[in-house]
Amino acid sequence: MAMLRPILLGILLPAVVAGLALLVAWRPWRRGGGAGGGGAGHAEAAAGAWGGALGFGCGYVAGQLAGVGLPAFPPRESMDWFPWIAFAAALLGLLEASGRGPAWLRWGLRAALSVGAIRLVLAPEIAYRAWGVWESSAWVAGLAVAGLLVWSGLEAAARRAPAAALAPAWVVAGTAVALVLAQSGNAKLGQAAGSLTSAVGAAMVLSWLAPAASFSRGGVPVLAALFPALLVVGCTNNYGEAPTASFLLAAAALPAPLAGILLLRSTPGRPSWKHALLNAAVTLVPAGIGVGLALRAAGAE
Amino acid sequence: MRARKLVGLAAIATALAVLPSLRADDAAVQNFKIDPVHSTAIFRVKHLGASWFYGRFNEVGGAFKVDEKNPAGSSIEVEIKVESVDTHDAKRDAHLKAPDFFNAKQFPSMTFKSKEVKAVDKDVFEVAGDLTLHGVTKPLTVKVERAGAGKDPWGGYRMGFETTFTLKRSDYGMNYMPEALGEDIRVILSVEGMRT
Repeated sequence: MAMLRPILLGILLPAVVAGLALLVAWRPWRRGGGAGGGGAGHAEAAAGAWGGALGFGCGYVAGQLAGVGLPAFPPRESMDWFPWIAFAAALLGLLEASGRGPAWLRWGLRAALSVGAIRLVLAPEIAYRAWGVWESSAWVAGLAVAGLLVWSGLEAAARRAPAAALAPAWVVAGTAVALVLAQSGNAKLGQAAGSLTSAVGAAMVLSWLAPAASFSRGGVPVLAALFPALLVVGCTNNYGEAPTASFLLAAAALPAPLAGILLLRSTPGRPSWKHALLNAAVTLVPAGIGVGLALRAAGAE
Repeated sequence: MRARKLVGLAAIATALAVLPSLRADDAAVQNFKIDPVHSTAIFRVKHLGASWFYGRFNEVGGAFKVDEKNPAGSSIEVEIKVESVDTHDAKRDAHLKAPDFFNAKQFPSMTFKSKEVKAVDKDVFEVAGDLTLHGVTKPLTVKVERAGAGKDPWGGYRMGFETTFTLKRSDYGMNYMPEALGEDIRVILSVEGMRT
């Protein structure tokens, strides 16, 4: 029972914190089903977009603090940086939710956050391998580009589909990330990914009450900054048996719902259960294979 | 006359040959290199509040200096490789090396460097110094007992010490899974030094 306490705190607390933020932002009790409900469309959905930034960011931080413990200050280990990355990503999400600024500025800030996050969490690996400036820069740049690709996939999906059609798929992807990290011998990282997934889970529940509410411009920066950085730390500190393919497939699962969206051409507005199911099913392919490989490797040991 | 000279020379030669070892054994200040093969670091930690499980570190190194006449002039430095943690379970060892606990990649070793040595009696010393574990350095004072000393079969000279002390792992930023693993870690460190 004692073991359940940190799990409950790390999973339930982020859901509650994220749920409260999303509840205030999306206001599902309003006539027409909350943000963007009914015919209100994009404009209102964007108006509540800050809820994703605040909910996912604060939900994650609450989950890490309650489940994993207080991070050291100043940060010493990669894990200590994640709350700060979450705050920075939430701030960027709030900025993007305002809808102001040209596209080049948005992508510039996204690139800065990706590079910064990867550089910070990769620092112990750079020191361990004694990489020089060029080698470490190449690794940071390469991983940041990969992170930005995931980001663009998440963004494209969130722009095309409402939260109700996406959230189940992202819960599947987040769960895969958490399981792969746990199989890599990093329970803390797995728990952290579980906290973020739990925040998305709260959005999944609320999105059925506010069907047209969207993640775009708000929650995506938090997901796009944290999930890839967590996977990078897990992969470079792989003390379990999880193969590298598991990490890559878990990362690929994050933008995977885009394939389902393009397939059914879902549009903002009330999604059908078919959209949500197809997106989740498409995501389950890389997610399931990634987790399956990790579990098989652990079982084969 | 010639025979007496020869006997005299032989006596001097014998004395010269024996003198260094006598001098070394009785020297006030002696330096030792820790013998990793005969040094041990064992720890115990409570599991689920139910039982103690024991582990050890298989790579213990360092050096110490013993000043018999002036114990304050003595010192010790011990380095233990975190990668060598051994709890008789490969999966648990891997988890202990991961960032969840020791974070062996980032913090590959734990060290103790003495700052002050006081003699409590002939074979017991109070050693104060800094323990660095998991990247955190904190002062630590331990009571050290001399286990013994003597010549080895290869002409060397050895001396051993042992200490037992308790750490709080959260003091060193290792605070994960407090419900599963106890806060207090009891450590037994036994070192054998080869005189250099």
